Amino acid sequence: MNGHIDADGIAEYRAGSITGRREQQIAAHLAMCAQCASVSDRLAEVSLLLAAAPLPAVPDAVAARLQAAFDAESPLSSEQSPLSSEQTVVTPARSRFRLPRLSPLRLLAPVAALAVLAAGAFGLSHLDGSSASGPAVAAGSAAESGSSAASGAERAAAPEMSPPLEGSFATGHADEGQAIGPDAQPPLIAASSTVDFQADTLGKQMNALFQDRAQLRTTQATASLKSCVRTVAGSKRVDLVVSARYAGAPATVVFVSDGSGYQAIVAGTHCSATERDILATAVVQSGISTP
Amino acid sequence: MSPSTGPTPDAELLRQHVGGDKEAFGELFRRHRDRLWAVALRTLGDPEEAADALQDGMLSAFRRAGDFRGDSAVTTWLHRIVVNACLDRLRRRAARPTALTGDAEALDVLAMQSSEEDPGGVSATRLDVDAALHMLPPPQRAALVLVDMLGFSVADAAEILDISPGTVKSRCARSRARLVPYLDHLRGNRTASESVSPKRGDA
Repeated sequence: MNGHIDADGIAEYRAGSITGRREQQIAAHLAMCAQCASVSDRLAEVSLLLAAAPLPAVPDAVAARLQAAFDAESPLSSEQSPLSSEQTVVTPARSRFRLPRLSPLRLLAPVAALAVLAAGAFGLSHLDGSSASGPAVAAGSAAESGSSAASGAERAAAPEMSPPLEGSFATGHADEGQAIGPDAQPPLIAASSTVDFQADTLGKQMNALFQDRAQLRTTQATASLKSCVRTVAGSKRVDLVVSARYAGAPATVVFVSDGSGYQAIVAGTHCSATERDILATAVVQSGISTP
Repeated sequence: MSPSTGPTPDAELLRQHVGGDKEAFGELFRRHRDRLWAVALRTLGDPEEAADALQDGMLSAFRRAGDFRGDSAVTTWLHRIVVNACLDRLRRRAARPTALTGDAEALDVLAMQSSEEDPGGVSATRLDVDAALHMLPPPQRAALVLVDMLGFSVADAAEILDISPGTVKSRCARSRARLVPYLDHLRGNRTASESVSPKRGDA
């Protein structure tokens, strides 16, 4: 190499963008060429000068404007004041199912629907797969700790069943469970939890998570989370999604059902539309909703 | 928020925000606002636009907080959203004519103006850092601001800009090379004549 190296070349060399034989050539040239070495020094000084430039503080007016914008936003959680009313939440698509007082979840309609599905997920080890395998069945059976013998009429006759499912489900229309049907997907609501799941206690922790579900913070699922959930769940029905941690790292727990049982899938942070990144799975036990 | 055991970690503030805490996000913003503002101002070069972009970005972060997956630092995530808001504005602005487009002519015009001014002066010939940055094409500028001015690692800058680390290095390198001829103006303590250096040094 006889000629000088242009500033771009030296800068790329300095940045580590050039490797191999070319890197060695440039290094050798810089060692013997004062002119190019000077350019190299000046490149270094550009970075130093930029780093030394003081950070401009955000103007007060801008800071105030942003704070006002935050204040004008609704808080992310739909949580309201504790022990607020007996809200009867009715989703338009599920208007036959009154879901009175899912206290203390007290959430918007889609969340209420989710809560029912989640309750089913934990209350049942098996879905019977019949046309009545909607939330009403899940709710009724869960309240009976997994008994699958109850007919729709029996469930309808027991509207005041007490917890485990906190509050009763009006199942008077359970015979129309197919109005929801196994294919009906509630809007995906994500919850967040501070639980750090561990491999050896995953099952127990899942139980605990559900029993403390009222403490879960819920939020609308984001697009990226939905992509992840779709990838993880495949054709299985998604009953609950919880952002938590697993072995110390952020993770997403997806509870799915496939008609034969329920499973908790723990996905890592690389979970996306194209990658599953599954860290662990656990079969969710039946009857665990009993306190 | 309990200040008893030191400041609440960023990620916890974000979780509190997602959980409905009305104060958490404001606190998070207060922590990072100067750096975020610096990125917006230096990427856009205009305070009004920077304020708009900062607001766009932060409101987006406010609403998308549930998106945060903890695979990067909260500050990296915030910068990513704000930088994207800035680059969006620049793309929209690209449709409009601007005085300095970062092309070679703009550089030459500026170099001429600089050398015509009192060449021996200390501050008269000093180029404002922001003006110098504005001579760079926006994508290169954003990379340089993050790495050289705000001290982000190449890896973090790559994540913020959603480009490969190699591209970050390359953009920073080209940006620095473009600024070399203006180094003396930037530091403002040498005469312009001393600043002559081989911009294209092939002999």
